[in-house]
Amino acid sequence: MAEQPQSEPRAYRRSFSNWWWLERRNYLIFILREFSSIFVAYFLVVTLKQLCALARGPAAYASFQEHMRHPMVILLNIVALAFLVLHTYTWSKLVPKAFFPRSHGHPLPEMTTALPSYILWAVATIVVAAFILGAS
Amino acid sequence: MADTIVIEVARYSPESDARPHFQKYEVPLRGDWMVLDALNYIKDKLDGSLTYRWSCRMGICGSCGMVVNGYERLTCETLLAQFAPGPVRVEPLRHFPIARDLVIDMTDFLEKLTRVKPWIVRKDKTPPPREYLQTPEQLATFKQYSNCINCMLCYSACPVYGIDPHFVGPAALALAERYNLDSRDQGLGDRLDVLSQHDGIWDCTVIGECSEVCPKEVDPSLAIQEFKLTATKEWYKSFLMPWGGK
Amino acid sequence: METSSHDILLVGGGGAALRAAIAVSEINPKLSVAVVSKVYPMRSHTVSAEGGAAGVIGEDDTLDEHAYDTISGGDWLSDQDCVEIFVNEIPKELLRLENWGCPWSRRDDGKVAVRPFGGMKKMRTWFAADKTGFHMLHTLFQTSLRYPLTRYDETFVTKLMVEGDRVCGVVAIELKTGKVRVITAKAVIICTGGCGRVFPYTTNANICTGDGMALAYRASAPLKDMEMVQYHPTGLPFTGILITEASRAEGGLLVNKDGYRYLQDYDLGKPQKEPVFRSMELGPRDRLSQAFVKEMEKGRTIKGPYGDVVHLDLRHLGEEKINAKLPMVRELCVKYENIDPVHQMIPVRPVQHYMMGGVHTDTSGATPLKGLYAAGEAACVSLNGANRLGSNSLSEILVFGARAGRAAAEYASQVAMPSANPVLALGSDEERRIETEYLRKTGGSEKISTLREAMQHTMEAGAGIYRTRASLAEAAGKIAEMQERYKAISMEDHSLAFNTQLVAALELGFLLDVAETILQCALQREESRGAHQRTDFPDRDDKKFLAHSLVSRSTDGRPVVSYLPVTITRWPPGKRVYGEQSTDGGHDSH
Repeated sequence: MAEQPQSEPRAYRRSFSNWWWLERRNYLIFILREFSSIFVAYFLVVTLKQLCALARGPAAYASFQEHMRHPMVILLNIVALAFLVLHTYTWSKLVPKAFFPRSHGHPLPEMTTALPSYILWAVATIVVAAFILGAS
Repeated sequence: MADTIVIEVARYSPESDARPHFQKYEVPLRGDWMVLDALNYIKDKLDGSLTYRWSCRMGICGSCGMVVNGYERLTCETLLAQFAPGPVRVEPLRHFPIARDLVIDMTDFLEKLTRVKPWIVRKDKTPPPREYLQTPEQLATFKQYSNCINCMLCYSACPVYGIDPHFVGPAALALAERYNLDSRDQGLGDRLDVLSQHDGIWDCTVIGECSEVCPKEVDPSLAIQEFKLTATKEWYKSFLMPWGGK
Repeated sequence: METSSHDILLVGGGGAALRAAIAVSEINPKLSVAVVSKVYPMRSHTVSAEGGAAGVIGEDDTLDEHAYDTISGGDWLSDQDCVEIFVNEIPKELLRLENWGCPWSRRDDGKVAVRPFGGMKKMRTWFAADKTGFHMLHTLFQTSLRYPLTRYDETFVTKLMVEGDRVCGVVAIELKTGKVRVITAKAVIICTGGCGRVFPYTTNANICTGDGMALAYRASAPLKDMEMVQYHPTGLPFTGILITEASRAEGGLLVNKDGYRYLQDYDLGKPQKEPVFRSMELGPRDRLSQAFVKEMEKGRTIKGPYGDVVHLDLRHLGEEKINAKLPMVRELCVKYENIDPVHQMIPVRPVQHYMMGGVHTDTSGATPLKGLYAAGEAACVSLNGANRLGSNSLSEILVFGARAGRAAAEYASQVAMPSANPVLALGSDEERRIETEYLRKTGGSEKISTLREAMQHTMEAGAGIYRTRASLAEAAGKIAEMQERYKAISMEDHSLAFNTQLVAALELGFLLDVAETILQCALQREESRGAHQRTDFPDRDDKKFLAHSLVSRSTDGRPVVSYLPVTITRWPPGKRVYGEQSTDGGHDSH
């Protein structure tokens, strides 16, 4: 390797800011994406609680619904929903980085690999929405 | 369109400055000028001490990577007029020590490039009588990863490298994968030993900014994820089928 | 002042240098090899070569045909023993590079593909998409990392040290620190590339400033055929960026302002629908560039904002073919001309591209100065004669880089290391010179850039595609004046750390010396041959000038020209014929 002389001019080392993720839109989306996992866990817990309440009978379920109607819980759920939309969108966007089918060796365009995921999401949303809205 | 535009350039001379500072210059605003043309104008006509790297001026040598208005660009292919009315802020690539003005110290990158063993590794010693046969399909598997011009924009854009300078980094990892995927290479095992460490592929958290800024559409992020999958498969193979070797 | 020593030193870090360094390491691993380059190796200008590297590989192709194409392409100024060695060794070199991982484009059966190229009668140009030089350089650089080479990156050589009758090393500036390094070596191989920046419009990068040519010239090693300057017919008008010959090999057409394929008026054959070897757009570069000038004189070129141009038409190739075979061409046109070649014609004009001339060497890369070798564009063996065929240059760096490496290795294993004291004295002198004449210099009335631009425009006017005694003499006078003005350049940057103004000043000094040699050789060669066209001597004169111009620096500092006969083996001088007549049989030499 190249030899280093005795005294080198002082190269300037910049410090790395803890607020780096606010500097660029893509960095912010990345951090929010990672953070959104917390809300995935939250909804998992809510769903488990819902199933437990269902198992314990109508009184327990009514109590659960009462709890869910609380304005703070509704607010929290709206925020959580926003994060979950972000989560699902970025998840689909990342599918081409986990599955990379090739056509004659060439990587396929990212949208081609991601599209089934988006479609599945849309279909699932429509089916669930139809079910819930239909039932109410 | 106005006649001129202001360029704010980062300056740093280790012999006289404690830290970098910005200096403003007014340059002509020509419709077909790149940011590099503006820097050359400053150096030729206004301030001969302005220091930066450049060579081919056609986006293939990788010398002129800098941060322009907050984003990593090759200044030789960044149109100046898009920033009108300006000012245009030009800084050195991030996450590397600044040697002088817009010139960064590349030693770390070169070390990492060498560490990933970026050459054809053959376990059998006899060369083929002619060329190794390689179909266009086999070539296509690694071709985009071989287009890296070593401009280091990806290192500047990668927050992981910023937080942890031990990270091997996007370009070096993409180059490693380029050789892993080359049908002529037999060095996957050698590279796995080096790179399946926490400084290697596993430091990557798939932010993807490296692929966003890459001027040659190498997509190093994809290369790293591909490598992760390969590394995982090899790891399972190594204890489910320990008699196999690579 | 830092000191070190090695058996062999490469000046330059591009294709030829890396190939030579690897060759040394392979033939004698015990020799200590160092590569000194003013840029990191992957920045070397080899990286911008696009089209391909020629080497016989087809069943229907022969070494003799490659040789004949090269010799006739060079207008019989090529040394034929050199050409024979070249065509014989290049296929093995290209295969070796393939084994080292170079991603050559392939046929469907997995074998290496070849494409047609200007001046070649058969398809023999190996290519890696349209970034052949890039892939070759990166393959060589990455492969070189497995050998025990020492690299002095971003280290600028200012002087070749000569002690008695032998080279004993170099003095160089480490750019990062500004420190002067004295590197002792038994053998020095110059691989510093061309000197295109002597001209205003060139495909060459900023770093192509003829450093090695000037270093050798100042060390009293002669330069050869410096008047042979190649213009590439298709460069972009403002930037000079190269639009590869491959675009014509794939079927691109050159048309004037009336949409007329004007090359048919200049003895280059008749227009056909498909490209025809050695015909029309696949003719040799000197003839195509000369045709442009003639069209311009007739008023049939298109007036652009940066001078006259013609159009390169790729539209009929279709988007798919352009994306597959010429993706970089498309990218460059879109970025630098705001034009998409799929839908629009590309404005092009001849721009300086390559130096056939360079440091005089024999076929093993040795110069008359003991211990000094040269290879690649910086050298003149002579392979390319008076005009280089496209895709021979990337091949040249492999064959002659390897040969120079092996020759230097053999020499180095037989001689002792130069003694320390004279070397240190030379080094100190040079360190003092750099300090007094550049770093500590105050005052001065000439801006480096002003002087440089004046030199470039003088060279374009005096030693362009067509030259006369008057234009050359006038230019020579102006350059001599500029050598004086150079002493009064002003330096604004006095720092040690990464002083690129110092680099620019030193490069300008090299360029002025090289410019002098070009003009002197062009003045003395009173004939027209290949790329050297004299309107006052329009014919080729084999009686007087079937010889190389050798230019050396005399004791009063002026260039002095003498002649060295061309080596003719099996191909007596003939007429260069292009167009349909040249496609029947191989050896039409009347």
